[in-house]
Amino acid sequence: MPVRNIWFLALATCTEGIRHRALWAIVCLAVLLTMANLGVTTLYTWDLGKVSVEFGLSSVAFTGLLLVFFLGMKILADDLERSRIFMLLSRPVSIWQYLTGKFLGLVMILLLATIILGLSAALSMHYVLWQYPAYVPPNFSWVTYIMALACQWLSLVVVLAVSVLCFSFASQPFVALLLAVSTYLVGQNMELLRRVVTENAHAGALTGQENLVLALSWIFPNLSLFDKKYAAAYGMAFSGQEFMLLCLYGISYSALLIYFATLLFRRKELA
Amino acid sequence: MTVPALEITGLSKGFGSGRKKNQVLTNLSLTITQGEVFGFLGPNGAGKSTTIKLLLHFLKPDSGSLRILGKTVGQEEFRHRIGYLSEFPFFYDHLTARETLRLSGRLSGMERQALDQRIPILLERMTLTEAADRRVGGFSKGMKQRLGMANALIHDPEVLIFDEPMSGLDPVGRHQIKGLIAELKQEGKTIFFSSHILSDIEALCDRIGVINKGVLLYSGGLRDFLVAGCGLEESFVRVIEEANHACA
Amino acid sequence: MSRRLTANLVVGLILFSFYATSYSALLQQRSEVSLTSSSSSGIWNLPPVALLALAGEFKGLMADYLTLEVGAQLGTELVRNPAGGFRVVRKHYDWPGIHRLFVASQTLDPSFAQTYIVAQGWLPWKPADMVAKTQEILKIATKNRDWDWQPAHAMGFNAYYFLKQPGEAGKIFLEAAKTPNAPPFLTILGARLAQKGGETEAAIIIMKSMLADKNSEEPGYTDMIERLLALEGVLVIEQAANSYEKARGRKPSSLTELTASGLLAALPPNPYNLDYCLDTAGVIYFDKPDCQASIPDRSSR
Repeated sequence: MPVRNIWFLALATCTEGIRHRALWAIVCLAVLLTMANLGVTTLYTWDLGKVSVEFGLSSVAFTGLLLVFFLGMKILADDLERSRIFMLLSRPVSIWQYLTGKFLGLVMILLLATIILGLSAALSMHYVLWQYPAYVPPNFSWVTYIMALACQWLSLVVVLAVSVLCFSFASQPFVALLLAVSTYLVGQNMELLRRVVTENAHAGALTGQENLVLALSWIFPNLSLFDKKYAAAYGMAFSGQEFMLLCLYGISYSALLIYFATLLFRRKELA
Repeated sequence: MTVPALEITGLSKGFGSGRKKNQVLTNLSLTITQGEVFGFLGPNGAGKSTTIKLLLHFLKPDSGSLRILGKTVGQEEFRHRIGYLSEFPFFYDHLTARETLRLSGRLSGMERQALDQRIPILLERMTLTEAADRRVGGFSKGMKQRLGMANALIHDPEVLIFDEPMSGLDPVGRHQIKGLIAELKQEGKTIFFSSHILSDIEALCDRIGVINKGVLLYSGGLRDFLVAGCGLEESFVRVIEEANHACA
Repeated sequence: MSRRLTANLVVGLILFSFYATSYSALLQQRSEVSLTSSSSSGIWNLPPVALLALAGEFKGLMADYLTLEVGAQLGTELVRNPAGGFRVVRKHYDWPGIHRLFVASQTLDPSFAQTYIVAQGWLPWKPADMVAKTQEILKIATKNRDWDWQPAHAMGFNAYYFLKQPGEAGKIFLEAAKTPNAPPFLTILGARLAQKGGETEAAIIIMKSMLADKNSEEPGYTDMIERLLALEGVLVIEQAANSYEKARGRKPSSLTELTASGLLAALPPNPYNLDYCLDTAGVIYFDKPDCQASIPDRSSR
């Protein structure tokens, strides 16, 4: 029964999201961006392949973030602000089923958007690589590109989980959005922060605070690990083992965040 | 002895803390037997909607207990046996009426075949058949209210909790809902509904409860509430005014 | 025309005039700003850590943008002629600012070819004259493009042409030759320059290590063997000449004198079927037929 409820909620959320005009506006914009790839690469004389691949994957990343921060949080906030949540919680649906179902529904929307955008980017990339074979990175591989795309999606899933957590305790949706964006920025620079503190004797207030930074790197999501645009762009080696570990990290971290979100949401007054 | 449909004991609820605490309900106790139609009246801001939200566990009480069909709210599952219609029913704008009912039915544990039979019946009963495959976002207020009613009834619950079911409806809509409540009463359903439209209470209810500023002023038979020679409206106003003077 | 329509038109016209006046004044003010300020302000002036933090997961994209910015700053400036058409204006380049642009781009994406290629095309040459800084950029590119021999090739070129260090250039070329798919000429050229710059022994060691990984069917293998033999021959003669100088207090004046001294039994075979040359500066060549005085440059020693 719990799994059924989660599935129905996820499906309803996904259907609602897919039919939302905002989603298609964002996706259309992103498709246009990836097509712009064709024009952008002509501005360069060398490494056109890398420019094309990176532009394509960056479009997916940017669009995904728009979907998470605007569409995702709007769908969550609307449930509370417009009392839609009562329609669901007046049924035998627990808070954790509700949140998990909503989360999975939004994950499905992200997956769909990533596939559409990834295909669109791949088309423009394929054209550029075919047009300028001399500039194809020597070890370029479509498998690496697909893995990088999957990692991009996982990164968005983690950011979405952060958004759900922020939403579960923040008093206002705007506050939740700010917290989620801040966490994203910290997460993207976690590796940089760690390097600065461990390798730099003049790291300002963080000098010597390796333990603090280590603790932070466990608390905040290390989103830079999921950034494989460089690897895809230059055809760098990217092992299947690393990919599996990233998947495990992304899934386990997201599951933990949803669990905490459930605990916090239970304490929330819904009316 | 049958288990009461709803049993509220010593319920208190306040919002905020310290000096800014707003005490919305104070020591409310109420019992509703199965099969009766109970009208919960009070002026705006009296605590009617808060009581309903506490019943459904959308809010947690500061003190007191609530039981529905013998199940303790917040500890035991009862929601498959109740149907709820909120004052302003909101749905997923991009789902159709049919999809909305299907979602609610599946979440209440109904199987696909049972739903396939029940949904058309309910849509017909609520005169929503023509709009079954239209997105709810384009529905009028009346249509949403009727869909909300269908939503509450989809799983054939024993207890129905309606929060201002006639709110914002035109006379035709109100007549329809009143007729439906009367039918449900015939079917033996327990109906607890809040309203400040006294004519509807008079027409439908067996017993009533009157609440003002979080305090239950009266709970009992409708006839016993009426002051000699006065209608429901006059009796209600008199009770409220007396209570306000007592507080002042 | 109704009153309301007239009023709306008047208000719209006033607002538009206000907008047009302020915007054209702003554009006018911007075009008067000198070019030197264009590269002194921009995100590329941020410290590397700040730049990396700002870019987040869009480092590659930002690096791409910065190279476009370089192109814009290095591009030709055209000014409209009053009589019609355009004329080219002699542009003043802010080389330190442009260098910062390259460094910023490379900080964000150290593997991007456009960065190092354009840097090589402008920075070591006059008027920029930033050879050492170019070498730093090329070094980072070499390290981060292990599939590409060209950054090292450019480094070697700069070492030979600008820094007058043939020995160093030779060693760099020989290292570049180890890159997969590197052209065979790098080994040959590298060996020559290394020997010329007094790095014969180092060149032999590097060539032997390279040959160990090659098989005899590979293109350029025979050329490498010949060059190795030639270098080994040169090394034998150099060692004998050094011994002669230690014993007699002066360099030998000819190879004949060297062999006659007994310190060298016979000249080693020359794979190019040419005579070894010992010129008046004391430099030994394996292929200098006229064998006149060279312009020795042992500055790498």
